[in-house]
Amino acid sequence: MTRFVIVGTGPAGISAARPLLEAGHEVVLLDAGTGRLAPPPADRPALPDQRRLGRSHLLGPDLGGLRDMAAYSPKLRTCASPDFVDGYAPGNRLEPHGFALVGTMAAGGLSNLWGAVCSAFDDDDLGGALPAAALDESYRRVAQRLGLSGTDGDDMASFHGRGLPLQPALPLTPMAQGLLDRYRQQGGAGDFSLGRSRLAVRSEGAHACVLDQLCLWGCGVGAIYNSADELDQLRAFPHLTVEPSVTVTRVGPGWAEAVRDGEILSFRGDRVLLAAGPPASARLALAAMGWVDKRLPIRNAPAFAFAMALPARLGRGLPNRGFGLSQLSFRLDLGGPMRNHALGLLYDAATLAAPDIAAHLPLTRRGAADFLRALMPGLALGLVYLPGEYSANSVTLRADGILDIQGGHAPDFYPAMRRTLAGLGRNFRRLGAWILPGSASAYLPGAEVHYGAVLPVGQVVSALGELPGVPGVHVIDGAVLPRVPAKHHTFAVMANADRIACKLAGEASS
Amino acid sequence: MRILITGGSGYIGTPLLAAAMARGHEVVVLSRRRPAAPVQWFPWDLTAPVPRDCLAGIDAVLHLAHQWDSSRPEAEDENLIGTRALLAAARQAGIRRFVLASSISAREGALNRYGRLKWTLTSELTGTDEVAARIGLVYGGPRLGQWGTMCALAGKLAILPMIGTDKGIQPIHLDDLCEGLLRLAERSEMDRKTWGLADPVSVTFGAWLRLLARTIHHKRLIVVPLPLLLVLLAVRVVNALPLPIKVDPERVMGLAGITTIDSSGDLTALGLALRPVELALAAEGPGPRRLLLREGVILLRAVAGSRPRLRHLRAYARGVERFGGAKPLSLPTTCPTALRAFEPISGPADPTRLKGRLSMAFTIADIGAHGGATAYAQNGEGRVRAVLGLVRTLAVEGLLLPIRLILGRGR
Repeated sequence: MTRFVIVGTGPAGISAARPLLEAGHEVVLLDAGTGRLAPPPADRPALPDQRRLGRSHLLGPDLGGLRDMAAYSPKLRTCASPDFVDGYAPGNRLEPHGFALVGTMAAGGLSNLWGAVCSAFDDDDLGGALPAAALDESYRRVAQRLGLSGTDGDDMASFHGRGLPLQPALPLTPMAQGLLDRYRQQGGAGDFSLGRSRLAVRSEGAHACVLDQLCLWGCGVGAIYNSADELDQLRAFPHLTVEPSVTVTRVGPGWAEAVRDGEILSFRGDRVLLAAGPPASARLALAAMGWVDKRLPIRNAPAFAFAMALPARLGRGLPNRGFGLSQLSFRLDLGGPMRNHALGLLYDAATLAAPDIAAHLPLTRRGAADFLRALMPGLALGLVYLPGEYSANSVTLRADGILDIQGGHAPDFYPAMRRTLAGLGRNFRRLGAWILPGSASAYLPGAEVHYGAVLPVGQVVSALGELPGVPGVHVIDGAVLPRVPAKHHTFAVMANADRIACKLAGEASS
Repeated sequence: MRILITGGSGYIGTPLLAAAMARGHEVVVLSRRRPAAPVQWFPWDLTAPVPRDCLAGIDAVLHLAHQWDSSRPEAEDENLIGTRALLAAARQAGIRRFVLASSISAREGALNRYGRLKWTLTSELTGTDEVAARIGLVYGGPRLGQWGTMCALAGKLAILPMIGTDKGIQPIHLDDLCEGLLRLAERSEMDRKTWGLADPVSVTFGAWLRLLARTIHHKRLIVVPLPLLLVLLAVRVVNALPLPIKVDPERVMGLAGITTIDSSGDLTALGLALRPVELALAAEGPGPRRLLLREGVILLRAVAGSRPRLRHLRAYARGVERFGGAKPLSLPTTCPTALRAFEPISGPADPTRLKGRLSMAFTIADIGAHGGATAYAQNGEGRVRAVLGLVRTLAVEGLLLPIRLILGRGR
């Protein structure tokens, strides 16, 4: 029996732990352990009822929803617990500059609150450093664990990945359904495809989605995948040890050093797998390799948001049931030298909070409320990601052990954003939807997460994520992806962690 | 000591007897109403004979009782009769220390009767230990008497026409006054006949009203001076008309005849340091919590258009305390609708400023369908209404935009 020490209980750490435990190995999971985000009650009233009752559901525990979170992604805006994201940077000794760093010490990591969008990376997305076929088996295993729902029958299916075990797609809101019907009638337009989102949301079984539209305020029934739930399942394995409340400070061949309440602890294992989130994993890895004062790029998919109105739906009612994550996804070829694409998600505005949308309008709050009431039935919010090559962030490990993160957009990001908007405007107009002028705004570098490719497989680390010169220490989270494409990378990160763990489990057993 | 206090159930008497008891004195009270504290009490008014037993064992008399309304001629005023009777009884009982609560306005030929009466009585204090306290404008404590009237006056209107606005008044806090009166009762040597219990630094009456408005009501007040003659004429006209209201010219004359005295030497001799007026008034006003609740009412109304729910109000106050610096804003207007003209157009939603606070209010109310405005037309409002509403909203907002550009700057 081989002993593995895994740092982090997010989707990557749990994806590695499961195959190792199933193969009978001993696993020690180190969890920074500020507890998971408390799941909301399963029997809470649905979103339209909360609004009717004036329930103040936006406030969250301790009124955390009232603090100024303008810089954060709307997903985090609704998580509302002030300490959910606060401790990550200081705890992991990260110092962001011009970079909206998002991470959490909570068990389950950012899967406590995520968009649950899952697309499989293809060869292009992996930049050739890792053949997509090497992940095929892992994609299938991970899809089963996630409870992936969606369809193989629309124009986005090949983009998300075909042939995976899928639960039936969730019912769309009338706004999204109308848009999709219109697209089907008109047919695709070469550079543009539209289809359902592929989501880690169960539509069948005991934990099936109850369509209360409150996804962004946490799932009450466990339909949205959260690795904290899976961690609880893994506890059934007798050879799993979970060490709570430890923050790992250093790693080396066969060991990890951590602190718990000021006390220094040492954990030994045959192999150490880093899955603390790309910035934190990168800091531990760079320190282990002794790469001080060396500047490395860290990618993220730079993003912008826009609002879009469907005049045909003015004056209609709002959906009483549905889910509150992205209804549809779309893809737009960017052309140009990068020969790449933008990926976008469409949210139904009715499943978001009016005050958050109003924050981006130049109207008075009262005027914004009136404006939104008229527009809400036909209002969609788009979130568009460009490939990581449009980001220009870097990390440097300083001599004092702090990882300095500098954020930035590549010079061609804004031209690319304008081109994308123009292309989307053209394509959506054909479908009877109008992007509201002046509504597009870019997020700060880092704000939409999707960090990765700081220690790319094949360039820095081995195919199994092993650090050069530090045998037995592997990085298994987004940090080792060869690229950060426009696609959401959680599904690929989980599959890659599964792949590495399966290989290591096999090697150890033989 | 054993102290007799007359008027012990009034605005000054009530805290005075509490302060006297707190210092270990035995207190006997003569008053029309039973005092709140459990002390020896004799029902008495200024026209009644002094109860025989009340003076037994008394070391000092603090004479506060005053009757404002009198139908008698001035020379037979109840206050003259009653005070003389009390003074005579005290002398007969061998009580040396007699403190008359008098006023700054007490002087020969004062414009108002009150000032003339107090002057007459002061001149009758002939014993070495018989003194008069010349009390300034008393403020603080429960909103009663003149203090209560002034608070109400300063809070009711945005513009207040008033006479005597340039007259200097010398305030004294109720608790400082009680302390001063007790020191006069306790003092061993009486080297002065009158003692000024009032702030040596005077403020004009107009400035005083504005200060009250600012500290107690957190609003701005514009005081417009009125000429005295005009007002007296108006009073006479009103009183001559067969109207149900009558205005006592005595009040008007009281304001018109305000004078100032030099009290600094008296205060030093008593070792009395008066509290700073502005700080003391700030303590009399509502606490920050109440101010935040009041701000919440206005802002929640501004975003939702309806009376806020109590739970929303509490969330607002707590939210500002936690994330908004806890300091109440000084709002340009208390009218929720007018506040729209002051809402900044761009800039960050800083929770210590108006824009951020409005965002907080919006987040709390989320404008569900409870009364006023709503951002969610769950059942649909129909195409025509939606389009008309959109056009109206955009028209109003378009008109507001240039106004907000000017008024919203720096908020």
